[in-house]
Amino acid sequence: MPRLACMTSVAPETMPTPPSNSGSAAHCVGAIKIYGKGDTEVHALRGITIGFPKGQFTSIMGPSGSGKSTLMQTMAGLDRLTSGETYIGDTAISSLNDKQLTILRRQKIGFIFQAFNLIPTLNTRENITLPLDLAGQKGDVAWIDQVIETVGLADRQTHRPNELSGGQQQRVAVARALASRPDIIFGDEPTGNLDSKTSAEILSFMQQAVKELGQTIVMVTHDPRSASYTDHALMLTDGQITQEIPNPTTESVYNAIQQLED
Amino acid sequence: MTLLKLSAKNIKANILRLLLTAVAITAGVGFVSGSFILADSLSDTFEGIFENAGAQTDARVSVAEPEFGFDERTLSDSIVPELEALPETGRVTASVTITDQFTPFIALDENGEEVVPAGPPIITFSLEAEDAERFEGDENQPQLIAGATPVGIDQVAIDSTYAEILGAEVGDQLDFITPDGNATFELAGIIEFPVTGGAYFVMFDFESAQTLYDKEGLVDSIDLAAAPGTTPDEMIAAVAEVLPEEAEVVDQTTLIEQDLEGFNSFISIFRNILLAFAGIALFVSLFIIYNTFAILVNQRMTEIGMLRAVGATSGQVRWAIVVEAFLIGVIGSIAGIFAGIGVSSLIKSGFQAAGGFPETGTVLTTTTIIVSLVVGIGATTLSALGPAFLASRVSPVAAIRNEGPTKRGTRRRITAGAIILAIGLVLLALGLFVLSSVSGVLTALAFGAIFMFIGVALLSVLFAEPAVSIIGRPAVLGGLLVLLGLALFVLTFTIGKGAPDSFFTAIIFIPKMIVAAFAVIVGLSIIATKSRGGNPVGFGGTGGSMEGRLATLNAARSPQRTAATATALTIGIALISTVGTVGESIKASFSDSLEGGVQADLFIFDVETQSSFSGDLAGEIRAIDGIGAVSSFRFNEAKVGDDVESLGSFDSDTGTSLINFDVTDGESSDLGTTGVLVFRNEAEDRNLSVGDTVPVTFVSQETVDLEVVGIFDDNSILNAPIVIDNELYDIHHESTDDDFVGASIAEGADAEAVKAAAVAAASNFSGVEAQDNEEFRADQEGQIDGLITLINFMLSFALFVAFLGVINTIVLSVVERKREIGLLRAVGSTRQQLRSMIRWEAVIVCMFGAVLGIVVGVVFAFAAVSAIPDDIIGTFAFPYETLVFGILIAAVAGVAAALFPAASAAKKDVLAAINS
Repeated sequence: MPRLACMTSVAPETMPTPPSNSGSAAHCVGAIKIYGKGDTEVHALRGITIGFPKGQFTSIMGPSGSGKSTLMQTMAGLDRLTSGETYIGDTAISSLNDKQLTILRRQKIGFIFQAFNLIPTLNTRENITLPLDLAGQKGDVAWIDQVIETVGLADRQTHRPNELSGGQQQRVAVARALASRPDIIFGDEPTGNLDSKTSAEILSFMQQAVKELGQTIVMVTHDPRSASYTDHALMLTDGQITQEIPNPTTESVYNAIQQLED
Repeated sequence: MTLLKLSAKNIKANILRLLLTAVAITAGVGFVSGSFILADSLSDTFEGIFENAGAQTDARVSVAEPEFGFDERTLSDSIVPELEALPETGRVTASVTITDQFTPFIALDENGEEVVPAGPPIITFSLEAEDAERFEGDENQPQLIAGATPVGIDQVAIDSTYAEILGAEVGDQLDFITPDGNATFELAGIIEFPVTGGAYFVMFDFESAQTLYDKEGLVDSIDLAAAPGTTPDEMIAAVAEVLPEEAEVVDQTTLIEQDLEGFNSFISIFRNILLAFAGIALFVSLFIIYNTFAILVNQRMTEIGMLRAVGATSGQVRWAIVVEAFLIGVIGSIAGIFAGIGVSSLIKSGFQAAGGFPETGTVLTTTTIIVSLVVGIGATTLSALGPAFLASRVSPVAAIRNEGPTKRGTRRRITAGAIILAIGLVLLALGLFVLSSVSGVLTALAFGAIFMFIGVALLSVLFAEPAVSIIGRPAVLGGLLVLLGLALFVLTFTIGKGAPDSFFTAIIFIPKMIVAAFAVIVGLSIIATKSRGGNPVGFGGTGGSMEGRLATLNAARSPQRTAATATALTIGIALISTVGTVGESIKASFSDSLEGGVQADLFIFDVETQSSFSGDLAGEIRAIDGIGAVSSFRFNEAKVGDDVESLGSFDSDTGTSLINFDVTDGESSDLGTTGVLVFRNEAEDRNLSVGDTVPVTFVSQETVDLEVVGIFDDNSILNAPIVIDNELYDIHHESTDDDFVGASIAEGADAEAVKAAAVAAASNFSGVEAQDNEEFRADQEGQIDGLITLINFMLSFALFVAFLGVINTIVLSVVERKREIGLLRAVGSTRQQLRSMIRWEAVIVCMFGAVLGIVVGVVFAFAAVSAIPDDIIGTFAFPYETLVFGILIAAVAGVAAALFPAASAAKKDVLAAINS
């Protein structure tokens, strides 16, 4: 069952050889991110080396300010590291210019944000195919139809976002992330704005996408219940990974958080 | 926190977009202050000249001006010794002057080419040594800065600017064109004038001037100073005793006033015309300010609700916005005053390029500053009132509900639009069917136009969405651009004049070609980017790139905003289309009347200034071998009863075969010394018919009873309701100068040779040209073209302001869509795609505004042309070139307007955009 490719958090200079990436969809080596300068310096990431294995559902947990969002954003190429390197597959992100990075994002990465996931002027289907359309590709129509069917939006294809419920909107976001069959999907509190019943529905669906479709998903969350849907949970504290919880349950994650606070 | 602080913080927080709003005010106010500055500068320059001219003189004797009309009147220089002999007079300075631009003294360079400074006339007059001495050290007077005053027939003095242009120094031999051929003079002195008004001066001593100007024994004016111990009034009384009937004496004050009177009324008309255009530009700025604040209020709905929730009263919210507008108004208006200096010189160079406008200084008066501030601040504050009231109605719950833009604004807009359009239509109907006086019709139409344009612009919210979705289709947008671009090429080289023949046409021609090429290339590239993005479902058209589709959807998303953005542009383009269409119709009507009325084969006249020229030329024309009928035409004024009317005069035995005035009653030939032709309207007003007698008083004050021999219907060419024979004219006028000469070519004669002979004869008379029928008509039509170009030049300021408005709205909509843009970037939109999305949105909105403006403008112009009596505009014609150019300019403006907002949106950090 799930096994982390690597799970150390040592300083870059003491780093051994980079971990093998054969099994990971994305990984980072000695990731350091510092915001601000001088007195206002904030060390968001203090030298993280980690990989996200293919076909796994990983959650990144941690109190606010722990650096979990920064980790996701830098891994996804939305932000750049102060030092260290992140890789999507074998591609080192820091070597890419903005255009190459953009193209990498739309080809290899899917996103699910907490809110404002959809373009209000586009209908459901257009939102789902947006990354493909931006790339000027037609995509795999049968696959897209299947995704739409699976998320239960087949009869909502021509609706605009403002005609959909919050849960439906997030399902569109998930479907969009899946549509181009990216190497990895990043979610930033994807159920943060939803009630528990709708959250459960979305999370089950994400779980299903990993198990049945072999998708890789990394999700940032602060909610132990959400983490329980994932294959393993990483605990982040003060810019460092402090714990890994394989096959997390609500209780085990909750206990880990309690331990951290003690 | 006080309100002022809140307003100031709001401004600081949104400094960029508020600066953009301020720029719209700056542009509007700049035009207003520019109009004042230009008029004041012009006025100042000339007042300076007139006042300086009169300053050293207690009184001036000159030929008495006739009560009306004009004639050659002379004053013998024998009066000079008589005046000198009077004990009451001190210094007596006699002078002769030529101010006529086309009988000038023009210096020649070493190649024999005329050195004419662009535009201003060369004034020549006599200058005596005593003048120079008298003025010495007075900085308001001409100063001798090198050499001496000229003495004798072979010496000349010129002003320092002209000397600089010529590179001439004292002692140089200068060649001049003179009325009697070329002559060489020694440069005796160089005179510096305090203000020149752009004129250049050439001076001789009095006696030489008399000879050179062909004014032997004559004097134009005599400046008098009173003898010591005598008051100017006593001197004037004594002088009046000895003056002959044809002369008059005026005191210093009257002298300056007389000079200024005519000039000031010109300045005031000039200023008012400029201000009318400035008003249009300002009016467009108001729309932009209103628009900006309406959008800001909508965007800040949550913030305003929060303010209300924590205890701000609706009055406080309202005031916070009004104060914000006030502060922006202050900034924009102050900048506008300075911008006015630039605008005034821009207008000046426009006029200078179009044909002659003097060099002036730059005068910024307190009045200009006050008017600019009041207009700018007042207008800004006023146009923010509506949005401020809207803001004060926001409920505190808005903050919690996070409400979006309301629909209420749209409904209000539609109601207001419908009412304003209705008022416009009523005015139009009044002009079309009820009013009969020309001025009444024109007033009703002018106001009707403004109301209609605003009404339609406001109502455009109703059809903005479908219209934009149609325009946004790649096939439509691309096809339209290609077609219009090609059309512009074709039109320029067929209907238009093709390649430019002057600097001024080149200014228009080059951008026109660039715009046409741009449209074709861009249009083709849009069509070529077909169907890259799969097969989208539903609204927004098929095919095209993703960014193109998003652009269309964005433009269609908020019809209110699209309509509001396009409004300013719509009004601007509507005005230009109306002016263009009415102008083209006037041209077509004029061309029709020329075609029917002008039968002469040759026209000899002063093309540039329409000045009269010696009657000798008509004699020379008559002597040409192969010439047919020849008639001289003259224009003056005469009194019919108590009314001063324009008087025309011609050779009645031949004239009607050259110019057809359509004599319907009686006959036109051989009026002799007792007959008169009367224009039908005039005859009806005075109840005259053929055979009646009418008393006519000429400039000479002689009254003659004339018999109405014929009544004519077509007054469009002569433009004089009373027409007599030259034989009669000669009896009552000293001057026998002609205003134009018409001639036909005898049957069987060599037309080319005859024309060549006429051209050669005319070339001996400065400024006069001989044109054949075709050239004449083209020349007359060209003058209307020039006028239209000038009006469009003035209207382009309003378009510029509208353009700022487009930038402003796009910036605002980019700000509003920050998160959306972040999302697009996150899911894989490149910067280039984002830029192109914003660019196409701007182009689509601009095209929408332009097409709407053109439709409204042309429809209105059609109504106007039908309303205006047929003898003014009888034919309707489309200015195809202008219309096509208008739409394409809007497309280019869209691209340009999006440059900055698109670049700034693309630069946005993805994360910052998402997290905002």
